[in-house]
Amino acid sequence: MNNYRINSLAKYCFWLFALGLLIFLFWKNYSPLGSQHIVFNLMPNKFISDINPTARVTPPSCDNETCSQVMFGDPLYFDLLLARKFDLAKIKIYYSSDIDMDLRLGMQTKEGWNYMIKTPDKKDKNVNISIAEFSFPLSQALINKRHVSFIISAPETKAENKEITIYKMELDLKR
Amino acid sequence: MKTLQSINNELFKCLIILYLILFLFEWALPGFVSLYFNHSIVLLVAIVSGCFYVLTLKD
Repeated sequence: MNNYRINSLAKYCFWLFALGLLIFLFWKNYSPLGSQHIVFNLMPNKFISDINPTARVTPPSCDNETCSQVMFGDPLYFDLLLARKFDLAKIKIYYSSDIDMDLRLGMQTKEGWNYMIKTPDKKDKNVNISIAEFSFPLSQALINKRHVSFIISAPETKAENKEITIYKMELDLKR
Repeated sequence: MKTLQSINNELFKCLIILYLILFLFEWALPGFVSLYFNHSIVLLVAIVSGCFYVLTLKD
């Protein structure tokens, strides 16, 4: 193989790699197929912001692989970064509380300050940990720079001075 | 050595153009690139390739 052929072969390989990378990024951002599963274990996550404000929730404390945050004020907020367009968000919150408290989740809607607040579609209990499952149509969400804002509300934390310990959130985003 | 130099030239050109494209995408659509790929790697390899080019200029 002469030098010219090696040179042009290398050239095509480099450009093919560059093209492949761009196709990969377009596929990841605008793929018409697929879903995304996000596990937010309260540690920094590129798709989910920290739970805030810090005046109503303790910082994450971790024991082995389980982290928890105690919610002592109402409400709390977090943002979800949408990597691409999705139609439905199913969110599971793993939490525990001393008494059976009413945990609600809301999604900021296109009206601006309004939140579509829901009670759990489904509620399970696994030993001490309760699992509340919610679903939201993302077509009605206010998407600001690819972010959707959510609110976690448990009115009893304010009214009855109770606490909720949040362990984990799982998000299933579907088209 | 000549072949290696010309391959390196092609690599450098490709990386610089790729980096500019990725930079523009990231600037226009924040997260488009950075969520899935660390594009600083492209710049880093381009710098190494550029250094190799400069070091072999005298040949």
